[in-house]
Amino acid sequence: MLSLDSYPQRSDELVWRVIDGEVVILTTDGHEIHTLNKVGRVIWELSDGTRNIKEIVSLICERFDVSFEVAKADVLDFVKQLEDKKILQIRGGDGDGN
Amino acid sequence: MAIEYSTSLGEQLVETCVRENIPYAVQMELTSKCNLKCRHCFMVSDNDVELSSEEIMDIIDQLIDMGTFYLAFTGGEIFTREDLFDIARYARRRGFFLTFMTNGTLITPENMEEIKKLKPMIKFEISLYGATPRTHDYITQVEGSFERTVAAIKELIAHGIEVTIKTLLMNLNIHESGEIKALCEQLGAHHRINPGVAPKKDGSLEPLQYDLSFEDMEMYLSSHDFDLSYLLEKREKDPVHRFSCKAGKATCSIGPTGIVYPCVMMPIAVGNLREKSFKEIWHTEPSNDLKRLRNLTSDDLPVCSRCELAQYCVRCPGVVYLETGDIVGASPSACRYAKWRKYSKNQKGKGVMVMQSTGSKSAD
Repeated sequence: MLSLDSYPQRSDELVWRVIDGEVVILTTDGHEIHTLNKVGRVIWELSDGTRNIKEIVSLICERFDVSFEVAKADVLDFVKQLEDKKILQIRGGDGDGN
Repeated sequence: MAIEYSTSLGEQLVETCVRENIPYAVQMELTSKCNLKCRHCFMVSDNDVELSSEEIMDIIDQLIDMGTFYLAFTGGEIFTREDLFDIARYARRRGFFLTFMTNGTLITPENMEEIKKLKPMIKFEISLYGATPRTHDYITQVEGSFERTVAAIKELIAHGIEVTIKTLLMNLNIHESGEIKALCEQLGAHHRINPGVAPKKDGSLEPLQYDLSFEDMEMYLSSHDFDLSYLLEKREKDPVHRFSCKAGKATCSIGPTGIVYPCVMMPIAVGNLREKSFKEIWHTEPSNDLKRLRNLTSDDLPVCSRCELAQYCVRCPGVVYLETGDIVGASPSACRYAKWRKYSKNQKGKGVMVMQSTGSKSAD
């Protein structure tokens, strides 16, 4: 269950680079290409397995002048999307973390 | 919110890389040493000190910042390097799609275990020059090489590793072209079976004695389905680059001693990674040769752009350079293949048989 205690980590079965200011992610078959916008890029770069979602949300609030609740909803939604696509892996997070 | 998903972005990404000169695919020649002695080989032995593991790892780090996704290790024979897996593990950890270009003969059970650890980021491209030991070993000049190469292909495929077999069609093996294709299919490998013998990197035309004649093509290729029409179709969509390619714009090659080239087939040195960073060589201080290559237009190729065979032509600037010493002239081999395609179309009346006249070491 995804929560504020979850630790998202980028999969090591993909290649990602910053191209023209955007994060471009290629999965192993080389066909699925995902691009992330400015906020997505920050979340992606912070998802190195050392920070939980609560910490990532706090950092997003600092950088983008947004409330914790709004950032929390967006980050959780975003991380879930990438988890479903198997390009982020989730560790921990059994509680709701509030 | 923050994610867009598209399966059609591949072409856009490549266009961006060409426009912005992002080297998304790089070939690293890890060594010029090889355990085979292929008669047609275009490599020239280099006695200078090859890059160390540490130097290569530093270059790998630089390529991440440059935007490189695809990294192909080639040679020479890469398995002659004792530190191959130190380098490959490092690249795997740093995040690249890896390709090993090899003859496969030096793959042992021990290094098969190492190869498995690189999954799923590793693919192989293996050279095979015949459907029989007699033909293949005659070309490689090493007895037993056919058996060892085929055994490696079988073993890799059995372990779930994607293998592409690359065959250069020459007058030494054209008589087995159909059997080679059948063998590739029997082994469960992808295959790229192309003509187009290139001169040696030092300009020697010696390998061209093995190139196909018009009569060879007429006799053998017409009877087999070597449908590579996608190559021509791809270029038709892209008239600006019809007579050019991505070399020096979005792809490049790094030689065993750290020299950067636009392509492994185009030995025009554009910088030395022992003297400058990749960024300096590629972006901030590009050489005049690199700038010229990037700015070529069809106006710079007056002969080719007005040629009546243009619609049948797949022109490789690297091969032209090796054949003529310049990148803007007509390529004798490309002209010959274009004439054959036109002839074939007229004879068959069932579509163009298109062959690639480029070298066989492509990473993308």
